[in-house]
Amino acid sequence: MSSADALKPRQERWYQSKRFRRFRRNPLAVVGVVILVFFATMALMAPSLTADRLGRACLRDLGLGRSQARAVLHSPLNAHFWRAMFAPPKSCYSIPRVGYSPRPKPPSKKYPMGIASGGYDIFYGIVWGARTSFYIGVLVVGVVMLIATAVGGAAGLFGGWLDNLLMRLVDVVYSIPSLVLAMVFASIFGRGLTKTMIAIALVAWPIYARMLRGNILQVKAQDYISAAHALGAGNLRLFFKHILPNSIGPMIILASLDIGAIVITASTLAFLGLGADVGYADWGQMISFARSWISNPGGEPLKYWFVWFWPSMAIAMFVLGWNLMGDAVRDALDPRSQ
Amino acid sequence: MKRLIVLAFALALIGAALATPKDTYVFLQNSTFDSLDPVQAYDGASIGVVENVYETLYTFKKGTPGEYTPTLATSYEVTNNGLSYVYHLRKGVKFHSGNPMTCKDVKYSVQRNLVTMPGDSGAWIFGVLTGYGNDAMTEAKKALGDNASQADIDKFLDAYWKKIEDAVVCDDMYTVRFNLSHPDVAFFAKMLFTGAAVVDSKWAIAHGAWSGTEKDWKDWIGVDLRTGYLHNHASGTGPYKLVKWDGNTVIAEAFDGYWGGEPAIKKVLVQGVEEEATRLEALRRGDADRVDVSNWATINAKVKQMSGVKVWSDSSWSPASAHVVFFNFDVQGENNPYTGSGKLDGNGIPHDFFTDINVRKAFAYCIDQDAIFNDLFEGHGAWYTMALPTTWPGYDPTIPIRKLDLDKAEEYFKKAWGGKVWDKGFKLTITYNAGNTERQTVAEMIKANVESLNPKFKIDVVPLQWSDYLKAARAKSLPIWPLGWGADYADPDNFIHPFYHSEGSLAKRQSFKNPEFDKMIEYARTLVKPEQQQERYDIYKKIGRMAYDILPNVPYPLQAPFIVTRDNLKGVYYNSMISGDFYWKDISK
Amino acid sequence: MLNYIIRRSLQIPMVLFVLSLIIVGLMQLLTPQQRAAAFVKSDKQIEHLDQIIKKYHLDEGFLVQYELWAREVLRGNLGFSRISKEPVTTTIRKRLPASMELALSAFIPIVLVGVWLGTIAATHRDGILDQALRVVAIIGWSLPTFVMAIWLVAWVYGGLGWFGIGRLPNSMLIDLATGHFHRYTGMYTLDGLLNGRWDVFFQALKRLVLPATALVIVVSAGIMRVMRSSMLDELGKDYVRTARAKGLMQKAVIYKHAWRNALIPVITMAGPMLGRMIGGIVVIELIFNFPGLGEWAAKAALQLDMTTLLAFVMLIGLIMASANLLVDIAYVIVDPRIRYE
Repeated sequence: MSSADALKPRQERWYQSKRFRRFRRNPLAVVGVVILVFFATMALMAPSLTADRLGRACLRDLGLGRSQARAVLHSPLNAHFWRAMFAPPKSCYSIPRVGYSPRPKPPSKKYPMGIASGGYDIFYGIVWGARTSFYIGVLVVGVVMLIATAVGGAAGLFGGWLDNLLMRLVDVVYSIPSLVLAMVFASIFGRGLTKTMIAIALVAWPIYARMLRGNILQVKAQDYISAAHALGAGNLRLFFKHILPNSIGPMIILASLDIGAIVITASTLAFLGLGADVGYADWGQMISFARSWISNPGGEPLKYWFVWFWPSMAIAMFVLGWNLMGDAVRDALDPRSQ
Repeated sequence: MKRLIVLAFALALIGAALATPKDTYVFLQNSTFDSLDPVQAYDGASIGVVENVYETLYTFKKGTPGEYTPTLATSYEVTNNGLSYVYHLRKGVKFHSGNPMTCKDVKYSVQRNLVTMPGDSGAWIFGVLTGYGNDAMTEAKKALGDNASQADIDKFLDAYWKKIEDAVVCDDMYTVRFNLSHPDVAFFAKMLFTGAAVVDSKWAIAHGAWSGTEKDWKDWIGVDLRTGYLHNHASGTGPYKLVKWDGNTVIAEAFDGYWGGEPAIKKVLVQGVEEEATRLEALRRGDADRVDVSNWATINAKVKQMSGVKVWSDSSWSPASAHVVFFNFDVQGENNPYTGSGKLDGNGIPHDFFTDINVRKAFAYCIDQDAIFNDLFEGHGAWYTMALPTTWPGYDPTIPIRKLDLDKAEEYFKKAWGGKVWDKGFKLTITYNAGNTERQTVAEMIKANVESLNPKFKIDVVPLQWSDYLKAARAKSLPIWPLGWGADYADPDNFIHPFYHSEGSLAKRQSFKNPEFDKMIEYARTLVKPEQQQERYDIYKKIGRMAYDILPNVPYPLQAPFIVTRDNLKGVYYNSMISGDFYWKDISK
Repeated sequence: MLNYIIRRSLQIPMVLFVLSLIIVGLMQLLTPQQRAAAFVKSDKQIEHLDQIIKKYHLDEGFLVQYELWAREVLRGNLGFSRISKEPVTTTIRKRLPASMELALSAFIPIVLVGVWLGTIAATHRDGILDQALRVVAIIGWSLPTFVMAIWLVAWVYGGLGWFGIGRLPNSMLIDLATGHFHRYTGMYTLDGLLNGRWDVFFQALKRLVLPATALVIVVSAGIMRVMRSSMLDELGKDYVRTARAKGLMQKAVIYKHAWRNALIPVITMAGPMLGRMIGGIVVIELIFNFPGLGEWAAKAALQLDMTTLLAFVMLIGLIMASANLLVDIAYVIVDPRIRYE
């Protein structure tokens, strides 16, 4: 143990902390966690849940025949099972079409959530859409944290003119509503899930960069850092060993809680026609395509409820889960409520 | 009292819908306007307005795209072996501004096409008058190279102007003569395109448009007319005058000095509303008299249950377009993402993959035309045997259609490339314009059926954004793609040439070349006399029959046309050559 | 103070400059053919693609393109919008009033609802009402704007037949275009009143209800949150306790002292709130067929019309920067403890 560590305040285990206890006792947080666990299970088990309805291209890329798919994807002993679960080919994200009719068909035994306009199996879209949502959320947050760490870290570490310059850049990007800027970026990058995600990441980082910079400045000012400095620890080593680990925590937590907001932005872009390719299992796009079947003028108003109900519930619940959890965590972290 | 006011206020806000008045026609369409300048307008929405505000010399008879009736002209004759068209103009016709219409205006209007020729307009249609299909500057660069001296360019431009000058001549105030650079059997049909609509020259010049003389013509070469005065102002001879174009909405009112008598509908509003549900709600409430509806499924499932709404359709109606799947005979581009490895090794296709007729036939047998007809169009469609509108002369309905036949497909795949295709397999990408459900369906159908034949056949279906499509189409890098083509003017040459001639704008993109076709199409173009028309149509039929075997493309069915209106609208008809399907002046309530 | 205002105002052009550099820079990722997407609408024009690329300098490099654009902008010309088919400045002049009308009609309800609910939540801290409001706020926060807007259209307008969408009924649009109706502000509600046309006023107002409601739901949850926590802060302060000890009635204390002070942090929310509102307007205008700036920009994004998008971002940047400046100034006026140097 270096002498600098000795000066560090002793840390209790996270689950022993008062904060976690407060979080655990919050009923809303528990609801949030339950919702998210539900979606996570669904996302992970997507290949098994849809084994009987996988698309042709998906089966082809998995190297499975239709008849064997069911047995294989339900048995954890099979290597294909694990491969399908953790690294399914891209083609599995395309919703298989059941016919080409533009008319939606109500839920049936084989298609429990019904069939959307164009013959898209809604159940498949919902299940794989959960995967897409996590994928979007995790990847965007990852990229956001990378950018924020690079920018906020550099600004906090070096200070001076670089700090000034980077913070002005933060101001500029932050000054435009994120949806507007994401829309412009997505327009330039073109359609496709990856491109949309990059567009969102490029507008979501500033607030975290600023937060990290603030935390770094705070940590820098603390005694043990000055002590380590006095003991002659190198600038960069000091930064990566002590300053960054001690200031990055809140940013990581808050950024990951932003997944709900990110999924909203992504689905809005998809709705505007700037999201994933047509037919990709993506909730926002499913709603967008349900649009002309939402109302049924002159007829039974709820006739086509299934085309918009499932995807909008999925988005709402997914985001709700993140927000409930996020709210509770923010409360727990808020020094005022201690 | 206070509570009563609040209640009344709330009721007023919730309030009943406002139906459109008896003398008003409101049309909600799915697209917005590009330009109301007749030369620049080249999309359905814009032409749909222009055709009611301006008039051409002749126009289409109500329900029959192949028959014409004189409007601004009273008669015409073809002289000089088809090189001159002489039109006798109607007297006493007034523009909206009050100016009288004379030969000067006709000359000005047609020459404005030749002078400006914006690349994104339909002005090329009149290229036969000068012999050039591009604006003068582009032609000069094409003829002289990019490094030509200013003097050479000036010389070229002077010669170009001379041709424009000679192309349209006023024999007297009411007689106009068009001199063609070469005989063109479609010239009369071309003159019905709204680009040739007659513009009030005095009014246009007064508002800063081209002066009509050599003096400033060079300033107008290739100009974007959307920045000009005529872009959103109009003075034509048509039954309606433009009141205002504001955003997505065009408002017009009846012109009381119209030579053909005042129409029943006095006020017209056309609005671009992209959301179909919104259009249908407006129709249901009577706040629209006509709306665009995307497909028959929506009609059958939703529109037919609405009260007070009428769906017009007729088995004799057929669209003036053709949709086909194209094969590329010479796929270009290094590292082409659509052809896999670029070799016939199971992971790609070579650039000349589709030159083997067996491959093309096998693919053709994998297109499930019955499913398109029954699932997509719910049985309301038109079969196509060749790339020509089915009611046009030259169309041969007796040519067979290749429907889904997986056995035959397998047979041809086994024969293709000496059996190598079947042994090694292939991988390629079918693309379609993102957002086009019909083309997407065709592409996915081909994929599903081809892949079901042999596990080594791999097809990806990729939607292309418009921007990416432009790039790929330009580079000729797409191996196989579905595409539609709509008529510019009502002559079969407008389809046969682009689809089947090696210089045709579509065939060029797939590097298709058949010398026999070329010879026949060029010969047909010289058959300008009325008594030669049957011969010309027979040639087109022959091309259609030959195309069945040569298979440069596979035509597939189209949705049958329909019109959705309130049931109090009378006089509705369908003419595939009129962008709005009918003229506003012909309807009433 | 004046010094500060001048300094901040000078920063605005810098922000716009950097924004334009970012966007024009990113545009370099596109090939000339892709940049032509907004210029070429139909398949038939592919023949003339090269001609169009040359004509609009789409094949030029970054510096040339930026220079071409910047030069026009300095002349007050923001370019020609391929979406609205007219100069960008004309479109902004026509469409800004529509968006403003929508934003203004939502603004007061947003503040009222947010502040009111926030106060209730704070005064019932941890009670059932507080928890219920919290859940409602989180749910409101969790629904994407477009989902809620679609529901409003489908159920309230489509199902119940209430209110309306668009800006005015079509027959009235014709009436106004062909008759004598002076457009003073471009906002139909105000113009209706100024022209003495009550029917226009009512119809326009009727069509503002649903989109404004959607905006209120989207934006007011954030205000409520801030109001709640700032109110709690105030209630925990010594002077409130003192007042309470002195025996003043609790309600009077809360509303007179604490409430007024608690409003101050809400002012800082104006910037983010405006941002959220603008984002919401883009989607809401599209769904409610409301021809404002948001609808225009959304279409431009879909068709890759860079001139329009660039102008839109510049405009939003200008609005946001000015709003933030105003907020800072207002903050100083409201709270004299703060000093800017």
